[in-house]
Amino acid sequence: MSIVEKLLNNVDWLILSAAFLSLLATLVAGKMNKGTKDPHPVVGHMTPTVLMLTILTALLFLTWVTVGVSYIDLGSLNIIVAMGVATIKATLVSLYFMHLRWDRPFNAIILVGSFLFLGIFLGFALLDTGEYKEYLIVDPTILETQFNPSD
Amino acid sequence: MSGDAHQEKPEEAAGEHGDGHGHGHSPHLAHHFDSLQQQFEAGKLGMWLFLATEVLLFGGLFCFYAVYKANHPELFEWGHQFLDKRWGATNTMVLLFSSLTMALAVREAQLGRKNRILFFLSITFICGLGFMGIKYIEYSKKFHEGLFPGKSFSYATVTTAETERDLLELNVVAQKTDISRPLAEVVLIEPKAKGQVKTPAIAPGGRAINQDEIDVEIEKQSGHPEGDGLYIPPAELPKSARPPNAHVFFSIYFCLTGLHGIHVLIGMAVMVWLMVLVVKGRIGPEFFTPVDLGGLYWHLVDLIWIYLFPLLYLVE
Amino acid sequence: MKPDDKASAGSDLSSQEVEQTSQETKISGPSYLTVTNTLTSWMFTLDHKRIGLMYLVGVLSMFLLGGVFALLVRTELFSPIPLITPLFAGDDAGAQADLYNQWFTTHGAIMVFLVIIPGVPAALGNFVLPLLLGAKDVAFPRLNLGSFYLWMCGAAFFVYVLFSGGVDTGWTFYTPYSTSSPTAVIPAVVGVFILGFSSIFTGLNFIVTIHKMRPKGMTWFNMPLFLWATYSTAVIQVLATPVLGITLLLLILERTLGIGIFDPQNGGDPVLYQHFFWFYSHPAVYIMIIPAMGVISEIIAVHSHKRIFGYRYIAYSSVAIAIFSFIVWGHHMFTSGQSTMMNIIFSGITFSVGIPSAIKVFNWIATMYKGSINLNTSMLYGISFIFLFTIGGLTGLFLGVLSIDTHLHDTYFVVAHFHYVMMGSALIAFVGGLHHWWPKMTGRMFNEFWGRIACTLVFIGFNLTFIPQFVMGSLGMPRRYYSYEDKFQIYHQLSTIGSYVMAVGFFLTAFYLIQSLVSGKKAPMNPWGGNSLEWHTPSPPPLENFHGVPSATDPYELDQFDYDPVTGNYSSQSSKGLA
Repeated sequence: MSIVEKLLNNVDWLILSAAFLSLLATLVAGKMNKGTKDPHPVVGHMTPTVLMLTILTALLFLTWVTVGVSYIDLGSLNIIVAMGVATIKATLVSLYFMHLRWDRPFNAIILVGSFLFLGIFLGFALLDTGEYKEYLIVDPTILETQFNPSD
Repeated sequence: MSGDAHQEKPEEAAGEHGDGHGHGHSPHLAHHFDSLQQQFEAGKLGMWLFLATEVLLFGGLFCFYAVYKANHPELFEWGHQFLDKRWGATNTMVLLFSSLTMALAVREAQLGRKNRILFFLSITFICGLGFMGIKYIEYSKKFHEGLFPGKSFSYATVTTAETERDLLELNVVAQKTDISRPLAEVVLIEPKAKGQVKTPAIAPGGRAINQDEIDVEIEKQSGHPEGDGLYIPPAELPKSARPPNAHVFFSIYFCLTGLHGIHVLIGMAVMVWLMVLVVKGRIGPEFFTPVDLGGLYWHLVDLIWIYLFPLLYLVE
Repeated sequence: MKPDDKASAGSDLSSQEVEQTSQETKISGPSYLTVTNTLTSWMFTLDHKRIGLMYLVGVLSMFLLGGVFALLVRTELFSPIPLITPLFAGDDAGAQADLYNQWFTTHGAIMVFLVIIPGVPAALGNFVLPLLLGAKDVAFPRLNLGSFYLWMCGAAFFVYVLFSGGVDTGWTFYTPYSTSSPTAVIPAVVGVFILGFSSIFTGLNFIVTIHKMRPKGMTWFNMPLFLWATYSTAVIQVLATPVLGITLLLLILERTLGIGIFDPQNGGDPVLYQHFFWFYSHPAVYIMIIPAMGVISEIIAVHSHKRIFGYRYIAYSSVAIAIFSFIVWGHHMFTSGQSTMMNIIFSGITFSVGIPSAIKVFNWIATMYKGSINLNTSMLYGISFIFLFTIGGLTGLFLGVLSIDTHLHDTYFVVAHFHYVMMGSALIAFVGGLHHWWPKMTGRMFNEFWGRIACTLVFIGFNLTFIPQFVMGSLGMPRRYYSYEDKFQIYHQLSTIGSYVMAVGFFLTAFYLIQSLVSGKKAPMNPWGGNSLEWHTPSPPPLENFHGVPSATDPYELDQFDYDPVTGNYSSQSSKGLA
């Protein structure tokens, strides 16, 4: 296990090297595809390979950033930074890998809409639980009932 | 039957090919659609609606996370030490890479290059396998330490022991007590602490017992009468106190990663099905919708992990 | 809508009309009912009309089952002393009460999940939606069949529950009782989970169909209002139902593994369960009512032979109701321990959700005004809807007031309110729509006289059942109780009698509808004078729905028809076809 342990302990370097490898692949692919054009697809849109590799590079780099930042104690900012980076990564994946950049806008509205409604659910639930938590009875010994496991 | 019986903006219709005008029916065109473009867009729209349902499904679990993080931060301060962010980061890399190979598979499907489609689909599948493999490593480590969700949770560590006698005392109390009920003192037993008896399985539904019972048990288990002591260096004891509802952290962890893992497995099954379709020759530039939609599903699985990873592994 | 469009479309249709309007009708081609007749052709059909019909049979059967439980409940409540529970549960009062709990739980769960939620969208919508769009089928026919089989699966789980100890938690499965009840909670919850996916896939299918398969000339603001209603409903189905799914999954995990989210004994929060549950279940009641309102829009306009009043307002209000429905769920939790701040917020927003519904009611009434009203059975159901929905909606607003709800929560007032909206409105609209589209679906006319009698019986019976419940609720009669103080008895007795009157009405309906299948007059293409596309194809339609490609009509140009009393058919004055 020690090789694995050694690798794992340097996982942040691993991520950074993966990002650079991906960058290399992007540049190589860019050189190779210089001057060529993708054929027109029968339906839909074709994403260029170079673009996909660029996005992967960005994603890996952002992963390195978020893992690195997690070692620094920023207090309540930690979660904001982490979510911010995650949202940037999610945006890249949905726009480019999931094709939303070239799709009908309504598909993007569906995705954003679902997050919005989720936000409503989370928002109201957090507001309410935050407000009533001081009234919650935490000690279950007060709630003296038989616990009957299910079928 | 002429096509274009749907509400397309003229500028969009202009760029399309194979819309049925004078081309005859493509064998890939279903009878209730008028053009391949309409069929393609309908499939995409349907898939995005399905992805929205998946977002809301996982959303319930994110709500579980959010409510407990906001109202019981001590759960996360204690629980996060058991999550290995190195494995988490590795899994992130694996999934991101698999997203690339999936997108490349879709591209190859549009180009109709069968062997390359199969190649990229297999890489995606292998990445999924890798992801599940790492999950297996993580899960088995946790189960080994007794970190189960819910009432099977049986991990206990000691913080307040300064002597082995204290250790044993708390050990016995923990044995007899349902760990989901708060105790007057927080009781933790570190399995790796020196000179400690075997980690006890916690009996659920028990209650705190009185001191005499504790003394009797300790004598029985250790062979030492009261008063004997062995010193355990504080440095070897874990830092934070285990909260009473500690198992809820692991419920959150296992629910989130478990449901996600199930979706990865489903995604892998979808990969296999797509490979079968490709081998049968059903996929080509006119009809690559299954690969496209399967890709969208896989990307969503990646998307969810992009949020899961920092929330569980990186934030304390 | 230009006359020449209609003329060119009519030339295809008029030959069909000729054949249809002759009394010795031999339909020029087979209809969707007769084109094949093997069992497997029905079991594996991809035809939305057949799927809709199968849903209809299923939903009506479940309505019968749920109704039986309702009658058991009402019969038991005829007297404060146990009447029929001792027959099944012996002399122990606890066992009798437990059995009663199982009855109202089963009644509620079946009616909500197996009848009303799928009702209009799946049983009527599946049939009518592609026809309204001039399309050959829904966007995903195989998914449609899949939805139906998921529904059957869910129903099977419910039937299994009936034979394996029942469930007594109430249809809302509140924790901590649902996590500790010794009854068959898990199979019931699995059944609901499966039904949720049936609902999701139906909604998904409808959204894509309406987006992508509208005919030439049918813009968003040109389409029949039933489609606006179905679309809004489908949006709710897609967004809200998954949260129910995860709630039920977590409930199962809480029950089996004790994960500690909802059960206080495991460190959980029961109010959080209610947040999870009602985030779906409130929008769910709008899944029930919005399609019903869509049906009413069609019925009122067609049977008043008048253009619907305020088309855009009705369309926008459907969407507004759908969106607002997601931010009012806390009004089910005013007395559960929800914080005061959220109580106030939810109460305020709840007041506003009544506004779009009221707009619709005014528009329907304005449609009827100076219309040429035909008081046939569908129209009677439509008018009943307006009356009953007004009561149901208003009493909902009363319950939205915090100070009032403190007293009325968990009383019969609430029971009466939701029966007025779920049964008096949604179900009535469903039955009205069934009558409205019966000729199109089956190719037969039913007996109008008995239809009107049955509708009157249902209306009288319904009000007799539930008005006393408003009264006793405000006097303090709690819900979900199998016994009560003597002062409530008169109300319970009136209510029980009313339920039996209603039952007679429904059985009468079933009788004459089934009779119409055997000996009803052959239905013409357009028996009511509607102008949406389903009335431009034979009754029943051919497998591919239309002969030729229909272009959009103006669905509310309803004053243009000539009626032929011989055939019972309405034909357009500008059409070249025979009258």
